This record gives sequence, structure tokens and C-alpha cells, in this order.
Amino acid sequence: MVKAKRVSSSDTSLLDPASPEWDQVGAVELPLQPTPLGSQPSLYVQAKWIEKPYGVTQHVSVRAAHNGERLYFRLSWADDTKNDFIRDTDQFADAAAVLFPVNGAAPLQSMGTSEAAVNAWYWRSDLEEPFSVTAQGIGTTKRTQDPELAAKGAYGDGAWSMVIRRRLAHAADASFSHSQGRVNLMAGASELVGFAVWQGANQERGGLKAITPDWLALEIEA
Amino acid sequence: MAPEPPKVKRQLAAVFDMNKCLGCQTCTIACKTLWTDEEGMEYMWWNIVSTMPGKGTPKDWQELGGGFPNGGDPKPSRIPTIKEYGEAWEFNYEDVFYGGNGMSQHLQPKSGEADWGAQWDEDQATGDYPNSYFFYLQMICMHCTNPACLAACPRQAIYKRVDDGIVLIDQERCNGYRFCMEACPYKRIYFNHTKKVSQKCILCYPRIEEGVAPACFRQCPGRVRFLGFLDDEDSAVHKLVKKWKVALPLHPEYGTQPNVYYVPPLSPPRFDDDGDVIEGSERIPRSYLESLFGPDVDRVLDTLKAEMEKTRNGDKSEILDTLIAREWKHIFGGFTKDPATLRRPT
Repeated sequence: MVKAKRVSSSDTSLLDPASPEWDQVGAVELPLQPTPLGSQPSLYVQAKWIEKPYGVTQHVSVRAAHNGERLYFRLSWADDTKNDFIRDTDQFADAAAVLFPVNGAAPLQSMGTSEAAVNAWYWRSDLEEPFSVTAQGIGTTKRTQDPELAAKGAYGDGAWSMVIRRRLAHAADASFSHSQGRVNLMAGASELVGFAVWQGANQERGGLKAITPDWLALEIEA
Repeated sequence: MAPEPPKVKRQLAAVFDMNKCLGCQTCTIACKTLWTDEEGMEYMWWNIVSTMPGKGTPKDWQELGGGFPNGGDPKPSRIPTIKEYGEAWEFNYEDVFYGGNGMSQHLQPKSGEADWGAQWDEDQATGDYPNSYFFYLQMICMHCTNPACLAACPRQAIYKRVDDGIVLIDQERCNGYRFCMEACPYKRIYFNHTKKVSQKCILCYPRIEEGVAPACFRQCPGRVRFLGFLDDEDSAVHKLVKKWKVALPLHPEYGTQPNVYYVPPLSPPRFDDDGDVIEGSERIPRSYLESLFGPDVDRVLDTLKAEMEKTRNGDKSEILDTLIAREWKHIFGGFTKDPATLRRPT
């Protein structure tokens, strides 16, 4: 289970992965596994990666907090190489995402279905802004800019630390709706969450990633 | 097995007559100035004319895999590096021409001494003088009947137009994963480093839609490039590919069924040790041409030689008349409208 602790810290401090404010929030170590090769949507990808390991990130350490206004996830994971700029055609950037089912029936492994979407907050180390991503099955992701999303990554000692956050919804919030392909999260709510990590040095991109095997319970403290 | 090809109503195809190519790269520059002159596209050559035998662009692309060899499973490949494509160098002009160091500095890329670049082996012949030889290979996207790039994309960002078979990368759907760059066996796809998406030859589809031949076809001073629908029996392309069968796909064994066809190069004869012509000999080894165009190349070259013999004897050759293209309007399959009537898309 991932518990988002209510804290009284500022947006600036919580957005900083190195901030001591994060010391007050407990971490959970979550095992990750590669997405199944058979579910990669192109035969080329399957042929290329059958003998090549991908989704090589084995664990992600997750802390979650909110300050009543915004919900923050701080992810950290081991990565031998910092890939935060695409210099050459064969280079890819490190990335991570926090995923939510837009309704409870959306399967994580297939990135939702045509009836049940998933929503991800997607951070890539070479991009200025994170994306909000919606998907209704593998290969269907749509990226949109979301002004309420922000993220900050820091690399050091062979590991990435990254904070990504978005505004919390309020009960009186007219936009509180799961139907728009974006998940709106409220203080006091019980939700589901998943995590994914891409290692750029291993040319991981798209469906080639390490992911939590299934949804985890997310408790957002009231 | 290779996936089922996407269904189209008609297929536009090209024939490049290698015997007429001067290697002037007017086609290359026509494309460059029209389509790839923006930031992030500096190193792109959607059209390139390589010297063969040679390593091509990107370097050694024929060795990299991709495609569906002999109609089988996709063959793994890799993304060529910028260096292999050929870096768009910045040169030290300031030092050499304006810095007063013209006698001590030589012109070179700012990134340092180079040992490879696009067209690095241009006009380098193979074999020993006086029997050395080379010829030009004109490359664009092959707009394949069964595109490996399209099949490799996990997002269906690549599509084949139903009305003309042109293969396009949807720039909105593309996420820059670059599986297409790996899977294309002809390595005709580039990565735009500014827009972070894959890009390639679009067969000038905005011109096609207005009845205008693509820029590289229209601007070729040698009238090397023929265009037409494969099923248009009046088009030179149909006649050369389907009726007379004197134009062949490049590397048919790659299994993607390319829609650019080549009239293979004839050879001058070899000289013997005394400098005398060896009658009936050919400078370019047939085995090398077979490695490019498959076993049919023998039949095609023999046909072309027989047709040339006919004209020497005073007979007419419909094949040669078509290839000579005395009237330029006859080579574009009806796509003959004046490009000056078009506005450049923004």
C-alpha cells in the first residue's frame, strides 16, 4: 500500500526531491518487473527484444504526500547512467510514470481497455514539462500538457530521484470526474496506483519498461 | 511470418534509370531545400544518391538488417548513429578565412577531424585502373507495399494512404520511439532532434495531390526518374515494371516489396593488358548487381543490350524510346502540372 501523508510543507519544498521535508514521509520499496514480451504490440519489438533484457529496473522507492492542495509522489530508483539528453539518434532518455485507473476496472498491464482508460503522470528527464497521458489499451497513449502537473528530477550517486505532483480535487470541485480520461484525486480517498520506470541507456521506451506487477492501494490521508 | 500488407486501392511507384544518372545531386538539393531545411533536420537527406559499390547512407545500411527477409519474421536491426548517417558539420570558416590563420589552419569540422560523413565515399571507384568502375544508386523512401516501419510502430503512427500507397509518419501520433528506424531495411528514416519525432521522404504528397511530380523527379536534369500508378497501363512506370519488366526492386529479399524500381546499370567493356577492349565483357560484375537486384538482373541487362543492338541496326525500340524520354511529360504518369502554380505549405 502507498500512503500519501498529509503534511504542511510548501509546493516549492515538496517539488524538490532533495528537500529534507521528505524525511518526514516514509518510503515503500516496490518491486518492478518487465512488461511481458508477448504484450509488446509489434512483432519487430518482440523479435528484437527476445534475447535482450529490458525493464531492468528492479525496485522503485516511493514516498507520497499531500499538503491539502496538491498530491506529490517522490520516486527514486537505481540507474547507473544518467540519460537526460538525446544527443544521438540511438539514445533515449530516462523516464518514470505514476499510473492510475480512470475507473477501477482498468487493467494495469494492458494500459487499460477501450472501455476503461488509465491515466499516467509521465516524466521524462530530457523534457521541460511532464505530460498527462491517457491510454485505452497498449499502443493508444495520448500525451497532453497539463498545467497542473509539475515534476523535478535529480540524479546522483547512481540513482534518480524525481518528484511529480498534481492538484488535488475537492468535493465541491465541478471538474471532479473520472470520465474525462484524467484521474482526479481527493484527500481522504482510497484509490489505486501503479509505477513504471524506463532506463534510457538500455533503449527502453514505449512498452519496454519496468512496471509494478499490479495496482497498489493508494490511501490519501484526510 | 511477415504481417499482412496494408490494403490500398492503387500504388504510386517510381522507376529510376541508373544509366542516366549523372550523380549531380540536384534531386538531393531539391528535396533538402523543400523539406529538410529546418532546425533538427540538418543531417537529413530524404533523398540521397550514393556511389556504388560503396557503404551508402547511412554507412553500411545494407549490413544492418531489418525488413522481413524472404517474407519471414521481422529481422532485428539497430538505429544508425548520427555519425553513420553523416553529421551536418559546422566548419571552422572563421579561423581559416577571417582569423588570419589561413596559412596554419585547414578547413575542418569544428567537432574535429572526421573519418566518416554522408557521401564520404562519393565517386570512389572499385577495381583497378583501367577497369575500375562505379555507378550511382538513387535512394528515397521505397513506399513499400509491406512497410517494415509501419509494422514495427507500436502506436500505429505510420500509415499507408489507401488512394496512392504513399507511406507517411503521422507527426502527431509519433512519440519518437524510433522502432521504425530500426525496422526499415533501407534505413531511410531519420530522427528530428528538435521535434523528437521520426521523419522521412513523403513522396512530396502535397504536390502529388495537385498533380505535380515530386521535387526530386521534376528537377532531375537527366530525366532519370519516372512516376506513375503501377496499374496505369499508359504510364511509363507500368510499361517498364509490368509490361517489359526492365525495372527491378532493390534488395527484393528484404521482403517489404518496395515501390521504387531500378533500371540496372549497363557497363562499359573491360580492357586487356594491352589496353585493347575485351569484346562482350562488362566492367561491373553481374554477381554484384545480382546482390542488389536479385537474379532477374541478368535477364534485364540482356534485354537492354538486345534493344540497343536493335537500334544500332536501324530498328525502333519502344523500351529505349521510353527510357530516353525525349518528351519529359511522358515520364510522370500524368503528374505534369507546373509546380510554380503551387503554394508551399506552412
